[in-house]
Amino acid sequence: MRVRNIHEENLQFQIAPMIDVIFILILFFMCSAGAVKTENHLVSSLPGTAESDSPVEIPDEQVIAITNAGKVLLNDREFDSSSAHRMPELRATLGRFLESSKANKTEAMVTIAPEAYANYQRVIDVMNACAAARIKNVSFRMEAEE
Amino acid sequence: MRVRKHHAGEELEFQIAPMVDVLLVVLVFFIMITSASVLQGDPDIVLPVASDATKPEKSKAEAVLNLHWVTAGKSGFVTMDKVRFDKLDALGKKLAAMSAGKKNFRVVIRADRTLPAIFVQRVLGACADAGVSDTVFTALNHD
Repeated sequence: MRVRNIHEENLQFQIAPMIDVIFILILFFMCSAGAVKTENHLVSSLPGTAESDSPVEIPDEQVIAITNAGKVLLNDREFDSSSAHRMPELRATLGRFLESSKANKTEAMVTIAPEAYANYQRVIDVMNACAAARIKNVSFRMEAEE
Repeated sequence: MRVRKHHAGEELEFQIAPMVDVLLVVLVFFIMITSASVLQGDPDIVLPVASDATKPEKSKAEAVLNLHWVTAGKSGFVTMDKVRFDKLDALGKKLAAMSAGKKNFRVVIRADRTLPAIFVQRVLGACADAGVSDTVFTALNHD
């Protein structure tokens, strides 16, 4: 049997396979970076007490109701189907509401009033539509004590 | 001015070492952004999806509340820093103590997408009673 003698071989660090491996790793992480789930935030502010000496400006408020079945109602008109998460109709309406508030020099405010067993995802859908329409003042209506 | 000339005898070599350096930096960058977005918090909670949610601000003092709902008992509980709060009064007291003297204190709400809105409202009520009005809701960028 023929035995290889390592002393006879020219042992060199092979750079080409190393670069191949690095390229594959980069490709893997580049592809997986696009599919990564990240936690983002939707901001809201709760009604609270504030001491103020200056007169308080009354905001232009709209109340959005969410039923247990997932229907979204603004001024008793239903917007988008219950399965539409992106809510294009509500986004467009809220965008117009913000523009009219700016024209009237008042602050646009949206209060979300969900029914007791409305799905939380639906509440987030409405908040997402508010964020898309760039409405910053989003608040919640508290449940009445039983 | 002295200008270098390429002579026919000069050997122009491809420099492999800087290229490997750059590749390693790019690799580290992608590893970092992939591992930085590993979800934190309670893994039992399936967060809702909101494509237009903004990136979280990390500068503020905050309390992260994980909201759980028990369908059988029609009741919920909240965990904060691995401490379970079955009664929202106790949570309110804890939040009031945490937010005392902190102007920019906020509450981060992580709730399951199937949770009923009533429990979120109750928790928000507890936050309002504790004097915390700055609340943010956590959602995923996509499914």
